[in-house]
Amino acid sequence: MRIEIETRGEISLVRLSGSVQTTDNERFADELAGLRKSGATRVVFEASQLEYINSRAIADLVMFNSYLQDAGGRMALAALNSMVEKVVRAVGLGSLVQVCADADEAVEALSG
Amino acid sequence: MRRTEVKKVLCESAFSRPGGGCGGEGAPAPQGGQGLEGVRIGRTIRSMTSMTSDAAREIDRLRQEVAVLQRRARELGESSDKFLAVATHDLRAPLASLRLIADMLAQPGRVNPDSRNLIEIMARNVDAMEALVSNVLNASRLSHPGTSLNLDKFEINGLIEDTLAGYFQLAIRRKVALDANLSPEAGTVLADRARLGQAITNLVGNALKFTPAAGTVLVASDGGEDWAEVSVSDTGPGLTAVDKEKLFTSFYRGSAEPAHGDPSTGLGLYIVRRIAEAHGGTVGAEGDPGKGSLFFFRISRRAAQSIGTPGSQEQ
Repeated sequence: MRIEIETRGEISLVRLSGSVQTTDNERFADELAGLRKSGATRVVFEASQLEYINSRAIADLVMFNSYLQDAGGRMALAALNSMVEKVVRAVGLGSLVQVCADADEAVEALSG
Repeated sequence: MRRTEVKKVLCESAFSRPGGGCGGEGAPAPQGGQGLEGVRIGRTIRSMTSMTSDAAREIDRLRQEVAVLQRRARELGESSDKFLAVATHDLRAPLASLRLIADMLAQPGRVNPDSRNLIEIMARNVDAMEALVSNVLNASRLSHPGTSLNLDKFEINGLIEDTLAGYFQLAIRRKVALDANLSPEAGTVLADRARLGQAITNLVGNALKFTPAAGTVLVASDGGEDWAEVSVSDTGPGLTAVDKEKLFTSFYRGSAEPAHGDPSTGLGLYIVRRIAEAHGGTVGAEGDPGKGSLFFFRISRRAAQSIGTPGSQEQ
């Protein structure tokens, strides 16, 4: 798993790549905690290079979205591959956050 | 043929003497100096011959009775299978209705939180019963000789992804990590997609049933020129030697208790085996007590056959 974070105005763009498995869960949770500490409230997760994300990381994303909503912020997912999209839809995350074709679209969606 | 053999044995054991013969029906009568002893022997021989014939008739009669009983057992088995198929099919409709009602009642704002908890328990139990009914129905169908496969060419990893996605909710609720390591080598197979999906479902469901919170279930795929394999490993209680020997037989329940109180029919892995065998494949299990377990099935890419052919009979 690799995570790169860049900032576009008020939006944090998190690029995920590789695969999020059990061995990556702790680091993934730490990265989300870091985003919270940084005060980010509008976050895009770009996943064009993400091959797989496990159930624990998906649960972390659901919790992170709840936190953002409580903080008056929003979250979007972009460029999901078919596996990740199936998972996002299956757990209902797809109806809670915006799912966009690519990062630019997602950034624009959260900019309004 | 068998009667002659019986007679021969009787002769050798009861009447063989140095220089003596073996009499029977049509044997020459004892002569002169042999006297009364010879007559007695002759009578005994005739009596034994008669008893042998009676025994042979009895064997024939019993053989016919066995044939009749076998035919009746076969007919009873078939009607039992039919009954099971109809009964389980009819049970599913009211269960589906109950599940729908539970979902509607559980929607936010419809009932108070306490009632909602009860409704969720009801929904879980309906799901468990649905799973039991499905397993019994599937096992019944798979036990019919000649059940055909609906063959299609598809990517096995795509089927695994679909199945896995359906288990994410459950894995999250149970705080179990659902990992995947899908190899492109798994490639395409000519197989019955629905049945293979059932096999994968049973393996993943089984792993989630026995893996405690904070554990991991890993679903992997692999393949070679003629074969494709799906394996599911977990950090659950592992397997005993007896488990490994019997897990894929019908109605066997392993030594470990389910970690989350799920019911078990003992049919899930049996169904996996029947499906794998129908696809010209095999199943296997590895693991030791306390060290997790791994289940897999490996199928031929092309050699699918109908379920119930001689190579796929339950042992």
